[in-house]
Amino acid sequence: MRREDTAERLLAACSVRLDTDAGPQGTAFFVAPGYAVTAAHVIGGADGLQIQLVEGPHNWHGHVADVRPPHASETAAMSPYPAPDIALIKVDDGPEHACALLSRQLPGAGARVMARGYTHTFDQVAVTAETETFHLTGTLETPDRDCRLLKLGLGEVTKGMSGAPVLDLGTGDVIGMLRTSRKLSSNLGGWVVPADLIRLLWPDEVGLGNDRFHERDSRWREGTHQLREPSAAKEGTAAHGGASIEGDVVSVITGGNVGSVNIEYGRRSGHRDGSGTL
Amino acid sequence: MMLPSGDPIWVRVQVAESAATGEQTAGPADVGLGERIAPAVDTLRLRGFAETVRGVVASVWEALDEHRPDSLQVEFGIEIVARPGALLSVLAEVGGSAQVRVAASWDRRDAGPSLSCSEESDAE
Repeated sequence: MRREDTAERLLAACSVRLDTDAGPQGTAFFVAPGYAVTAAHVIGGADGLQIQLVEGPHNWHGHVADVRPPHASETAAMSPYPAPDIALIKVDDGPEHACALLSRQLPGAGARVMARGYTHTFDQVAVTAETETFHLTGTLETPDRDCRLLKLGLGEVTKGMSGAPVLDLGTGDVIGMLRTSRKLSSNLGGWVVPADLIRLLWPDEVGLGNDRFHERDSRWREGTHQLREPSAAKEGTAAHGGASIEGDVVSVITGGNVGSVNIEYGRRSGHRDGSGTL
Repeated sequence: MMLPSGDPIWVRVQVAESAATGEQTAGPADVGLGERIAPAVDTLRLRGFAETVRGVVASVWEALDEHRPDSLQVEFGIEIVARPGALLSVLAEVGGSAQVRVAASWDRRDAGPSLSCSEESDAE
């Protein structure tokens, strides 16, 4: 299995479409049991807003629990939205879900990454999942001295990708959340809120929650083990080995289908904080 | 947002800058699917709403000072403009000019048979 296929399945396991009463607004992804993140501008900086997360037949109800920067009334109309431009969503009700493995460190220069978001690229009407690969091209300081964004290039960021997880194709870790296109209708890429900052913003809900989830459930790490080995750079053909192992593990994580969260998902109840299975 | 009366309403704001909406933008653009939603906005008040309405009505009334009509209708549009940290209300522009439509009528009881007329005008 090619590393891109592995990445698509992992991203499909943790990313969701974000809806409000006004319809689809963008993308979000699960970062800890009961918690997801999206870009603050996707929800208009509206702390407390009721939202719905949708992935295939599954949906989760929740609300915006925190927004950064917090004073949304002063920033909601600005474009690009002030840094870091991220919101924490508390899931109030819905089936168990997978969580992205959040990176603790910045990816290496030139790293290849993949994002998965919900766009209306196909016909400007239907909102469907779309993936795109990029290269990490640099960083960008912001007026918020605690926030230095990652810059992506060599790929197109389309409308709807705000809030999309960005996965390092060399490690399998999610390096951050996509928030802005550097230029629409171009391959100039976009800006990413780094994962280590997301951890720092909410150390208990996200940092600790993400760590505990992946300590308890090792399948994401196992599924990306092949990506971390040097030989994985020569991916794509059976001649390079390891493909079947990788494929099997990823199938377990995602239920074997890109876009399907998991065969074990679907038990709807008040969200349980903890013992979810992938 | 809050009306001056204190009543909360939701507004959907189209960001004016092409950077946020246009495919031909030259700079960075946030890539949510929807138009920008104003925040839950118990803190966002619509500045200038009452002043705008009062100013238009007062100006028309003043213009008719010497010919006070028996009835007066004034139609104009209010545009809500998003600025960092605030929503502003301004007289809506159509083709570069703000339009105010005035309809005034007089009952000419003191001039024999009842007579009424109306006037409409556009003002910039």
